[in-house]
Amino acid sequence: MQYQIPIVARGEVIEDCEVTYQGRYGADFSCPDPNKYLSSILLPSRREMEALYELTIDEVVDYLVAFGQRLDIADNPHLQRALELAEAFNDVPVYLIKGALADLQRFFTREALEAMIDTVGREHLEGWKTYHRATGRISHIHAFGVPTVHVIAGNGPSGAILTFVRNALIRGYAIVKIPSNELGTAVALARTAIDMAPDHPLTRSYSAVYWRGGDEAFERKLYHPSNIERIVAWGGYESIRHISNYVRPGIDLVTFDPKISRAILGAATLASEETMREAAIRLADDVGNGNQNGCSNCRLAYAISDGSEDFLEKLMRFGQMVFDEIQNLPPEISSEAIHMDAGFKSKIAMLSMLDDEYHVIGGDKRGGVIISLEGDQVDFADELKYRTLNIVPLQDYDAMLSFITRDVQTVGVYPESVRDELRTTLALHGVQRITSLGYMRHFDPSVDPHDGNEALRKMSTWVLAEDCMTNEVPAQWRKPR
Amino acid sequence: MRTRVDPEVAGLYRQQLKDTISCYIDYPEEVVFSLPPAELDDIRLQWLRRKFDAAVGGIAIVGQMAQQHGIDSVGCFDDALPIFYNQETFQSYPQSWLENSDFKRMTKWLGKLCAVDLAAVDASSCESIEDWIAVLQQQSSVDLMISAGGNGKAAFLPRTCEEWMTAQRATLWGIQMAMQAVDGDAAPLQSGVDRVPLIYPGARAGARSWRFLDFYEDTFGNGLVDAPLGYTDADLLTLAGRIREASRKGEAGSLQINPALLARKDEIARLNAEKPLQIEALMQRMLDDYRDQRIIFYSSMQMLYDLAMRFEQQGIKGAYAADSFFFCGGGFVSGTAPDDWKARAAAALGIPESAIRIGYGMQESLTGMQMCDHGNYHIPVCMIPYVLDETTDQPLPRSGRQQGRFAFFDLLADTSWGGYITSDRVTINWDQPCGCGHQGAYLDAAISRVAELQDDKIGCAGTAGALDDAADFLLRA
Repeated sequence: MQYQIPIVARGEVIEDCEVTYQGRYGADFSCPDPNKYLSSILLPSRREMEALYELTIDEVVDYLVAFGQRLDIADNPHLQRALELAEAFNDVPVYLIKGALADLQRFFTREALEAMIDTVGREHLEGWKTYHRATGRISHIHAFGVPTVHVIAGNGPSGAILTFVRNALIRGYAIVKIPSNELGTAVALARTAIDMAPDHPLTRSYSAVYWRGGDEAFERKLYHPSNIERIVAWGGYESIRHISNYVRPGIDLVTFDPKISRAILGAATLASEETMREAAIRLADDVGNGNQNGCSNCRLAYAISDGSEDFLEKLMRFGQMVFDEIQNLPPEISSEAIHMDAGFKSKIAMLSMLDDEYHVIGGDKRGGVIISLEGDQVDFADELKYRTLNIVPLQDYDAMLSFITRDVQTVGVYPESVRDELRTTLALHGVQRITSLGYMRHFDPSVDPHDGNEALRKMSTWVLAEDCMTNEVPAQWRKPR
Repeated sequence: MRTRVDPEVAGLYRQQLKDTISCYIDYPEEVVFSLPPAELDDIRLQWLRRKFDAAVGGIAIVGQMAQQHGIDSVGCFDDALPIFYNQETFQSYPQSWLENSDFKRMTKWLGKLCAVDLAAVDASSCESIEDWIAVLQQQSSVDLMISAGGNGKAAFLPRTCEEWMTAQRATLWGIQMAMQAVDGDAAPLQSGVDRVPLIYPGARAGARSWRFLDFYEDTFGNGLVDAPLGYTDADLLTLAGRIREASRKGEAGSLQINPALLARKDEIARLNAEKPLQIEALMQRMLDDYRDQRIIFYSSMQMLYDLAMRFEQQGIKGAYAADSFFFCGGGFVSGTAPDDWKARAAAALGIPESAIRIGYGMQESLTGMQMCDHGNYHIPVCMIPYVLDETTDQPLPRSGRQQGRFAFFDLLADTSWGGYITSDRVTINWDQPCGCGHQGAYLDAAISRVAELQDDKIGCAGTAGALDDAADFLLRA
């Protein structure tokens, strides 16, 4: 089966698909040759951006609200197509993608958009916000969007959507590199915009292109300071490594690094059947949601031991409860693995052979729970997948903290007091988000910090216009000594 | 080249093959590859059943996997596939054991991978991998093989001395058969008559070395091997990978690294600096000292080509005796072979093109395969090939032409388990006879890594701690 993925370049759909790529899971796709269309993808002149700055932020919001109303998957053929592509190329089950696509419209309510605007400050986006400095100088500061390549993650449609909204709000020019595992959403959004308002400056400021990541011939031409000023790169160590070859003075790199998430279970967790049950239900959601494909999925849980003799026995029972609750997750949230790689399966099988050191529950397409009886996390803890959790019993927080690195994005805590006790210490170890156990997926990067970044602010270029004359600040060389 | 096979010899061979799979090395190549595929498969299936029956009771991990998958007998080749090993199997020990020098547990773990009883091995005094290797050699039949890339976790393969011996004999057979098939002067080596230098740009000894080098000198005389990299120290070899593994565990991991080993990091820097010099010195010997001699050279294709091009640039043709022999594999650095490379190399080296043999093999198998004059890799009779769907690892039909992940069962393995799933993408031809006359399935010349296809996929989950230069960073610190 072969699918065609067009280039959408500044409001124009290019369907001259002549280059074929082998996809995963037996399907192929073909695309136009990006080299041939580079000049259509790039802005012919910076003056093209002036139209964006003739809009008011209210007009931008109106556009996005109207756009959001067209994103009902039931009657949007472009999104239906995106779903079909996800089915063929993504390793996330299709109903999870469908759920994410059905949930798209929440980004496009006035309330949600205003909340995003607030993260930068409306005055900075609308125009030049004035500051009176102590010397008398008047500073006017405006956040601008610039030509930017967005290398988005493909484990779900949210990268393409967030990029669409963020780019519009800062009035930038976005070139989205379509991920090979999520070929549909970026194009679907661009085409929906064309259907709605083909000549609108915002429609013409969101382009979507597939090229093979690491295609040096194309990337050398594209990633040049005369073409783009910023690269926003999500996830994927390999992808960021490729991109780092092109970063130089004149190109700013914003990364949302690959991350993993973990849980801390305070000593009170195993205090009663009730708390065990409650924590197991919550932890199961953090492990299993979206089939553990994301950075905000839990892969490791540290359980602080209360020092009692039957602790390990209780912890194994707790592990079974978590495993059972993973099986109980509703199908719209989580499901058994579809494609399971043999290497991973055999890693788990080998651990189950070492039964003095590890207690393994499951370990197949249903998922699994591995309890490290000796308190050392498994070597591949950060690569756990298919709803597999490693629980590590530890004597205290000190022992736990030595395992925490800057790769940890979210820490889910139980009970709540753990957050208040540890949040500063965790932050100093590199953790970027601490939340209640069971709420890892409740994350909203459109308004809250995204992987330690204030995304919209960082994606903007902050320009300063100064007035040094109004308050008669003397020229520097005429300053009285 | 088609040679008539004496039906009496062929009959004896097929009879003997049923009792001793390694007997093929007592027969000439044309006999070995003369069995009709269906008949060979019958013999292989009988062997697979024997190997399975022995391993279910004899190798703990195989027994457990068989139980997990509900496999109690092997009706057809594919039945055994769920219990095949892969790279992960040989790396499945917890890294902290290595760092804490807990070789008692490492030994117990190793014992579960093979049928050798290691219960009596006392590794409690071992402080390093080198100590452990020595103890295993003294107290058991295991002569440990290590595979460790610059950055990966070390993989330990429990091969016995007997298995190594089988492998050496099979390798020698391969060389002899290849030499016999060359157009021109080359002929098989005769022990006690021929003293031909074997040049190998790798390690002479140590857990990662090519065990055949010793066997070659034992057979043809001391002092014949030229392998410039000396002894490879297993602890140094694995240090970079160990640091990388440890860095993934944050401070907890860094604290685990054996300080005695970390103190040796300067040695690694020295070894890394010396290696190119040693290889260059070998190149000089080949350009000067070995000129006009009969040699056997085992190297990568790139190195062989580089050597030939150096001669070509000097305007030299016919650098070595015409009955010299060149084995190579591994492809070219650029990924594509220069046009006409073989003919140009042969002219410079002074040998017929057919004296450049290309091989494909892996350390998880005791034998490799050689490319025939028609450009195909013929699968040895002692190896059951499989081609799997790359994403599901399900076996593809054993007919027609199939592309996918290569897996095999190595019937020469005795106390080890022969089933192994590789990371290589191959194209197999099951039933179209090869023009060279060999019977049976063969692989196309083009072999690549399965992982390449998925490089372009981006997800948000992962760690920068898995950076491949983490080890470099620490080693230089």
